[in-house]
Amino acid sequence: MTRKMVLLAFLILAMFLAALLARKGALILLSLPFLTYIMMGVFRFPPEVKLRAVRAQERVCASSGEPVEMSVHVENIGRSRAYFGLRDPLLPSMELLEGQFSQNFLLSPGEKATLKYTFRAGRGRYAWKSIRVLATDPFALFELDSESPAAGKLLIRPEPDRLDHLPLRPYITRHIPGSMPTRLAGSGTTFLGVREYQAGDPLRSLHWRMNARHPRKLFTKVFEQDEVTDIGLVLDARSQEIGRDSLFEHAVRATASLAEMFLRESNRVGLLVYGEKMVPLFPGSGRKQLNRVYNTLAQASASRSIQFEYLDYYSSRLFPSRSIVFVISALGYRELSAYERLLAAGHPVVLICPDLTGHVTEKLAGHTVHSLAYRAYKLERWVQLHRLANLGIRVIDWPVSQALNSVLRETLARTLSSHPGHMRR
Amino acid sequence: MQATKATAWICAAISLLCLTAGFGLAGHWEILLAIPALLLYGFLTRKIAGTATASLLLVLYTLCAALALLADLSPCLMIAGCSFALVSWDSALFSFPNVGNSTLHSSSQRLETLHLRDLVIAIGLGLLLALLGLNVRLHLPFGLVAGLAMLAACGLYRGLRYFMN
Repeated sequence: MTRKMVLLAFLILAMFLAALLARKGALILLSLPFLTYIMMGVFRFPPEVKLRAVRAQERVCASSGEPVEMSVHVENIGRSRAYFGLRDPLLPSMELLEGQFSQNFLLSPGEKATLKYTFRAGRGRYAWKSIRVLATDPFALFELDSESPAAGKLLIRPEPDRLDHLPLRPYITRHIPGSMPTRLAGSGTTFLGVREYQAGDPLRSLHWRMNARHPRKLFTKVFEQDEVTDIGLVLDARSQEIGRDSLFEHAVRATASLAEMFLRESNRVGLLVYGEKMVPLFPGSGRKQLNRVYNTLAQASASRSIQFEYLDYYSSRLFPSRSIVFVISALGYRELSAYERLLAAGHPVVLICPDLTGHVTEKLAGHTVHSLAYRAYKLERWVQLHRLANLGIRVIDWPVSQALNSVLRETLARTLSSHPGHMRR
Repeated sequence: MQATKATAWICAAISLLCLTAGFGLAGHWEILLAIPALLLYGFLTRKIAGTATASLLLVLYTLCAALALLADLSPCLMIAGCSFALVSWDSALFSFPNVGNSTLHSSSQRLETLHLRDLVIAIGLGLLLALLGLNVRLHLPFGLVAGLAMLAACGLYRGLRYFMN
């Protein structure tokens, strides 16, 4: 029964009572149009609700913020004409762009209709089991609420930023041509040095200046061989006290961007989502691996805080020996011992640390933050990051308001030009 | 939706005319003061989605009609006015049959036509029965009337239980 029906029932009852009290038959006659109106509603109410619903999605995977078209095709398989209201649930972080999540239809037996809408959603895994069906009469006096199975799944992947090539110098490489310099002479593009000409060297690699200086000898330019390497990505999914969702989203996006860049350059990439539930992804390369990384990141969520102690346990089993490990963590800088063990295992470590302090000031713009507490927090962070840098970890302090690409290039270029544990300030 | 909107406004105007005529014929022209108030209320709240405004107007109208009948004014005009007020109320609420973000899909024309047809049948039948009731006098024994009343009450109870479930 709807509010309309309740109102009408109240009016009819009031008229009957008034007629009895005043002994006026005309008042009962006044209620007759109301009664016939209700009777028509009863008569037109569908005796059974039989609806077949099929959910048709434009795609099963999409990037964050990308419009997705959703259609739910319904067919009245009952024996009577019925008024249906279809209500598709609005899931968290979904934003309607076009169409409606709910529509009303009048369907004769065998007739079909489509509920269609376009939406965009934040990163995550979305699943629908059914669609809510409200069967009603033409006057919407009575409603029958039911659910019709219409399953569907959608994976919204993080949208990666396009990163330029990072000037890394891995300890070991796989002997497959790639983009990482190996400090070995070969068929690369980076100038490595000059050596005496050997039979078979191509003429275009002759170093003409040296040849001019030493007329009796010939010299050849030597280039540095570029090969692919193994990269391990660790996304810290542990709870991050303030504004965690937004900061975690930045971390996820950074991980996706790094994976995209390294896989684009044919490297092998493995991933570990480090949280209450560890999600490992074994190293691989190519588009399939990129899809696996995106799918894993799409389902990653911030979880309860746990110790970082198990990091080396997982990394030694997941990532190849001496491969570069990128840790993307907002708060992971506090656990020095975990990084020490990673370094001891031979992994060069790069820590990308989204800047929480800047984020806090943005989030708490309207609140009173004790200036001393804020300063102490910043100092503690600075000291800890310096300690990590002194251990030999490349620390990238990333203010999330800046593009990751420029921060990475600037920091890594400076790191290579100075000692390996240099920290950006 | 144009036809339904037009129906709502036309029926509202007819129902107000019936009310004015009913009270006016008996010399109670004070009712003319209430009409601008109702119109002003309807105008001011026309943009507010929901059932409250239209429902309040229907309740007020029914109250006026009931008072008129208690004062022995023309029952024909009052019943007709109430019927048109009911049509107007239903048409006004037709654009949002379920409060929320519901809308009608492309076959709204057919839906509108069928809705109007059902509405005309229902209200026409009610009006006809009421007018018949005004003109036809049946003398029934008390026992039969009591039996019919009990039957109606039982039917109402069963019907309500059915819909509540």
